[in-house]
Amino acid sequence: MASWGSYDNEQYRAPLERMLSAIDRGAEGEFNRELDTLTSLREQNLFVEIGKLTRQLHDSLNAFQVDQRIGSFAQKDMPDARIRLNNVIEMTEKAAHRSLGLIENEMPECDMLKTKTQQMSKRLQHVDTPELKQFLEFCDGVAKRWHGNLSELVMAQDYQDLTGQVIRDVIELVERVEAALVDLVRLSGREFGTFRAGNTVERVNGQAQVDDLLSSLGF
Amino acid sequence: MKILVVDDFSTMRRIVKNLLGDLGFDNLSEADDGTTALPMLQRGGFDLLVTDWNMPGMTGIDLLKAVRADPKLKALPVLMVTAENTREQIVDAAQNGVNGYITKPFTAATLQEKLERIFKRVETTS
Repeated sequence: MASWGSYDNEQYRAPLERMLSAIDRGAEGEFNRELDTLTSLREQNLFVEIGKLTRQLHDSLNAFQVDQRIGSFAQKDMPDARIRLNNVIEMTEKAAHRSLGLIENEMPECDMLKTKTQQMSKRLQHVDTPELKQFLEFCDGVAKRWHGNLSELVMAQDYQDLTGQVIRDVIELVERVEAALVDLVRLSGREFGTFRAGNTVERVNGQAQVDDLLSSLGF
Repeated sequence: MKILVVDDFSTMRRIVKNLLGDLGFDNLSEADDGTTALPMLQRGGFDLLVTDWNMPGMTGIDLLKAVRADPKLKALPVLMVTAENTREQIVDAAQNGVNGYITKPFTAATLQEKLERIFKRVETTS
């Protein structure tokens, strides 16, 4: 009595025996009828198997989405992470531009100092005052050094581009994970619930407001 | 000498423009992507293209290929300034006719040296 898989193969025995008997007797019609019986048995068994697999998949997906955190993750936390990372890029961009603006303002002043120092040196070359000469040399040296350092400061703002590219890669990763989670939740058949927009934390902006708040509390 | 600076990060464009200005190049234009840069180049008048690699619309390598494929632009000197430092990418750029390749982070001295090398070569070939 063979039985493998989860259904009883004994049910095939009788039709098979009748098929063999039909071959022996040359009964074509009977042979074909038994073949049909076998085929429909096979189809029924397949449907049972598929039904069981579908139930297992359904149960697994249900267990998965019962964990509401998965949905909340896909719908709230991931987009939030992306927003915050984008904010970081914006903040560093502002900071770098701020520095570059200050440097750009000072560069021409610095060059002007060097030019005027050299002009003055020329004008006063026949004046024999050592302190004056020293002072002009000092100014020339300082102007040159400042120019060099301002140039270095310009270059130093490259952190924004380099960090920004890294952050962008992380944002892309978050997006991919987010998309996969969304697909998975949709696959489980449930609609996304309305997740609360998250605890809106009230923040204080700037030192003046911090001081006001503390004063109002009696500090 | 008219130079086009292409990078999707506005801070990097500003840095390169400052460095070029310091070297005496003050006729500078900028674009934030290969897609905006190509029509600017095609309108003509540029003597040098300085470009990043990683850009969202059209990458630097695709911009380079487009430049080399355009009969009006194919002789334009192109300098790449990028964080991409794999051997494969550098070879790819070289095979597509880049004239200089600078990896980030870089120094002002490196930029100056590469520029001088490009224009020395341009002089000898013209």
